Amino acid sequence: MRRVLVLMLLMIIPALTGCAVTGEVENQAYALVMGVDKTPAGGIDLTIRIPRIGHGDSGGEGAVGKGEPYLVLTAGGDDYAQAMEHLQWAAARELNLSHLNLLIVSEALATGADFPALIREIATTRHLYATAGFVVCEGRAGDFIEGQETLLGSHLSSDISAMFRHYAAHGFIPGSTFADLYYATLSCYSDPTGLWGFPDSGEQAAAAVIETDESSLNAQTRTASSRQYLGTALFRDGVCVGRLDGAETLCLNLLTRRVDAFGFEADGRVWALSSALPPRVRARRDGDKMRIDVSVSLVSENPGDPAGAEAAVARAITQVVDKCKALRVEPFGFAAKAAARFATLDDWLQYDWRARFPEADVRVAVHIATAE
Amino acid sequence: MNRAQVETAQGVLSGDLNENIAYFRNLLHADVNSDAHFRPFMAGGTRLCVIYIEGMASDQKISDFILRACAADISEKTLPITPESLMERVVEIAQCDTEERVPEILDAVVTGMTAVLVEGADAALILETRGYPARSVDRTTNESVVLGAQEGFVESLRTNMTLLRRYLPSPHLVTEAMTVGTAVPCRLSLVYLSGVADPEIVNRLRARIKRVDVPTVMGAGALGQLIEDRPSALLPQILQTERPDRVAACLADGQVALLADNSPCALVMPVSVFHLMHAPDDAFARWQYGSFLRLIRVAGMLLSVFLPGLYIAMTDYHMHLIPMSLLVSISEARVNVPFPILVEILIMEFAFYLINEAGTRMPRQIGGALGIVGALILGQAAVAASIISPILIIIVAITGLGNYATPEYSFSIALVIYRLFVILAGALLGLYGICIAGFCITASVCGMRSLGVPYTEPVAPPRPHNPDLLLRLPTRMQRRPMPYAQQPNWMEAHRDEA
Amino acid sequence: MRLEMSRSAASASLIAALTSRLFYGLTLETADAANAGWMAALLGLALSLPSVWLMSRLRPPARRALALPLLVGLALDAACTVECTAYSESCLAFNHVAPVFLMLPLLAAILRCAWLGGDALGGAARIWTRLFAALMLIVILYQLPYYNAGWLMPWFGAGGGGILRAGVRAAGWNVLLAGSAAGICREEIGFRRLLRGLLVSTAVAAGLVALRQMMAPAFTSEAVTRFTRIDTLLTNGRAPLYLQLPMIVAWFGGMLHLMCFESVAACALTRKLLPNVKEGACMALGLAAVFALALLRVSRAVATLKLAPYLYHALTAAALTLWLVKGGEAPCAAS
Repeated sequence: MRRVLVLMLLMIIPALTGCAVTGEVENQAYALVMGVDKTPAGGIDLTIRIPRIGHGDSGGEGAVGKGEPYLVLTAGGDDYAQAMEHLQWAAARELNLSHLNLLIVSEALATGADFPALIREIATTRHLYATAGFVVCEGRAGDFIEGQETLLGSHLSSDISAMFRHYAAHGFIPGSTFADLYYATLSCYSDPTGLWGFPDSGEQAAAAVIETDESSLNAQTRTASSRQYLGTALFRDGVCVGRLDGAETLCLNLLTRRVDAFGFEADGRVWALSSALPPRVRARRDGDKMRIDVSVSLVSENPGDPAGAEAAVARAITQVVDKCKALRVEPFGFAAKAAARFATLDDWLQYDWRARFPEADVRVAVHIATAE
Repeated sequence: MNRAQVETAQGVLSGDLNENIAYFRNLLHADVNSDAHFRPFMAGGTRLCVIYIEGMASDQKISDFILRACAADISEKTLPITPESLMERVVEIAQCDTEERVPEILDAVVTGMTAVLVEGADAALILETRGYPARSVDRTTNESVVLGAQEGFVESLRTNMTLLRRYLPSPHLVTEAMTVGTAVPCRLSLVYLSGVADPEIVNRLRARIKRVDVPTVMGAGALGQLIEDRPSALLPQILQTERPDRVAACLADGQVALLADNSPCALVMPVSVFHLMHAPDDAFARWQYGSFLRLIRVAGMLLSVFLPGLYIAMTDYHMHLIPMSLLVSISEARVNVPFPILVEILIMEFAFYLINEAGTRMPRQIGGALGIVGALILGQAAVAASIISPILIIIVAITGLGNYATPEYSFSIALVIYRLFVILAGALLGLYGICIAGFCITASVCGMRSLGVPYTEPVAPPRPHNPDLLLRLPTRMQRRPMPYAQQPNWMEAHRDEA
Repeated sequence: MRLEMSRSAASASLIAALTSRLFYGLTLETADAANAGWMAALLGLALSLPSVWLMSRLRPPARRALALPLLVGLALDAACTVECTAYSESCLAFNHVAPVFLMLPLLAAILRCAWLGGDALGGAARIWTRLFAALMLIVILYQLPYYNAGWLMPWFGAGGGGILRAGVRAAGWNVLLAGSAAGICREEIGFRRLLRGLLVSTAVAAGLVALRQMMAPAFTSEAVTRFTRIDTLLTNGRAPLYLQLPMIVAWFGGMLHLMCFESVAACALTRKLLPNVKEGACMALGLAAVFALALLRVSRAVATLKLAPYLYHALTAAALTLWLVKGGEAPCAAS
């Protein structure tokens, strides 16, 4: 018996042909950013940005000044699958999407009715890293990627991650990933969001400090990049139906999570605020209507009575909620709280939260404590 | 053939001294053997003959305490001269006995004792006169410690037993003398603490030693292979140590030790895989330090087995698990390397083992050259020639360090072989293969036994035990039962009282 | 007999195997309970207790007779596990490799494990439970910022019917594995020890199912595939990349223990049914059956989708019938 077992094992070992498909690490084309565009003929264009390996300047620290450390490749096809296949050919190496940092789609594509199907198709791409940030950009995504500069003189990947962490901490952008978008399109809770990206025309990046006018939160620091990320793309049933600017995005963030530090104009002065705690959201069913009570706790660095600021922040948040109601979009995460008022998913689906949200009574209370 | 010849041929002494001498001369090949000495002399009118091996027995002891004593102290009371009367009234050597059987007499003589044959007696007097040269007790060479005792076993069985007695001066310390080897016996000593060691385990070991049916056994290492539970298993099932303090600690825990003549190490049984991870000085350091160092050691061992396999699995199949910055660095470093990662790793591993083995065998005078060869060839030239990538040197270096952190030599070699297995599994099937390899290794380890006791006891199967396995917990928690000891035992009773 | 296990080995193996079975069953195979999978695990425990109690009290002849339905269930379920393990590896890295090549290493591992014997498997399971706890602790600590408790709402998920359906499946796995543990134990294992195994496995599996549910919302779209479920489990898009390593190790380790336990138990029960056949032959027979089912993909079609809900009913009915026909109240060892 022992001999038979040994023989069987010996026969199995050569059959383990797993190593036949091995892909050596240096033979991969690691896409860091991928853009998806719709062609005028209805096809799909894919653009990727990959580090150049083997030239000693593949995006490593200090790469700036040694020449372009990245390659931008574009390929098109009748549909996503074909475009991806063509992209494989264009890459000349094994295309690897497992380190994708950013997935950028053009506004034209995101607002199309066939975008939900495309989301599912993208999500099932082999080894695509779903935690990639999800961006909807103005114009062509391919052009957007071409214009993307490295900001910190380091890897594009760490550069973008650092930039997004910074923006998200200050509330300028939502912390949206492609996974969030994908899961939300398959599920029945709140609507997903995306980051909004736009080519920097120079007008929107006018100042390096917070301004005191109405659109202070839309101010951007001037950077070397000609591409900016600010604001939120709103989705309903997987289709982009609107956007929030930087100030509105801050209000959205105040309703969904903690925001580290931000400035807010009220009573003729700028209040340096931060979230003390995540917002407290309570949902109650009032007949067929849902009542949502949101309590936002903030801390102010400035001395003085914050009553005016409290009212201003509450007003701004309510305006954003109203805007979303008008668009019939609920990106605030209220759905999970509201769902708790139902026994089963069937009941919840029957209630049809997305249709009922505009009727919901959302009450926002803001409390600002002064830091000692 | 006369009666005397018949008796000697049957293995017992006859009363004829000449016959006996002739017989022993024949057995010891005295006509060609220059160091076998037969010294006839007269005492009290009786003919006697001293038989000894030059160099093995001390000439001085023979002259002073046998020949001179026999010449001086023979009186009326001693007569007639018999081995018994010599032992009781004449000879001034403490350790002596009479023996009738020729094989036993012969064994005694070849191991350095002296036999005194007496005319008319059918027994010989065996006297302890061993005086062969032996290495003095010295520092251990393979099991160095920072804290704790520094002395190690030597090649002399007697010295080794003395060392153990010094560490465990207890009347319960039993050292059973045995021999192994059917043609050329090797002297052994089975050591245990009576009333602590499980009698069943002691009997099992006795039975295994009795079952050994080989002409000769060259030391403890060879003996260990003959009595272990599963010779085909990779991991050692017997702890081989050259430290008397470690053996003493094991004996106090109810384990059994085996000392062999001419072996500077002891065999300790039964052992668990956890024993092989423990360093001798763990017990001497405070529990916090001991736990920390043990964690480092266990991490080193795990790295030693799994790191190269993980490297190849992640770089070949699971690039997504490597941060992008590192991935780019690895890719850049590998661009000019002509070999696949598997070949690269195997080259480096082979080079590493080669240097290791060369370092062990190399004469000390030229040992310094080895460092130069290793550093230059592996460290610089190989990278410069793009035979290997720099990152791999780091991987192999960490792996080697982890391996050297393994306190038990045999265990560390087993880990190296496991590492090769894991490398192949990782190369063929990535993390999936490594998980399968890890599972097979764990199951194999759990299926092993040491002297009939499960190798992973007391964790699997679970037994009440001292928590001193992976971590050394505070000493107040270390009063639980000893898994190998008989229950109850006096050692535990004392611990409980303490 | 080498394939049999000691009480402690059977208990440890039951915990390691059943935890994995419940977890992968309720997250990958059964979408019935939606986000109330953890409730289904608890319901499964409640439903399975009477059957397991009956099984533990059967007299030896009745227990031998019960080996047949258990064997059928084990072979199918082991095949199903083999297939799922190979498929998950295919999703993870080997999408270009034929499933048979991913299953063959598993066969080698199971052969090795069966050769080492039941006690070795039990020992490995005991060590695995500790390692698994450490791995899951790392996973949970990393995932902590990403958990969304709101996705557990509504509490009853797909509703009573869905929870019941998933609960019956979970009960089927409980009965199958606990009955097998009792069947291959060389001593009387006793109900209390089985109960402890069921309780621990269910508690851990229910907790993990709930945590997993907090990482991805309940999918209500019909477009959700098995690939999506595996993908959200192993390479969850809401978790960082480096988190995948402990998760992958935990996943494959758990699956290996499950399939080895099921395969070794199938071999041991074959031996029980055919006492005159050599142990080696029983091993070959049992493993051949498992792999034939896995390679023919019968396992997915039948065991997962159709057999699993009936497993509970069939085994319970068998235990009850044997109790009535052949008698129960076996002398149980103190557990």
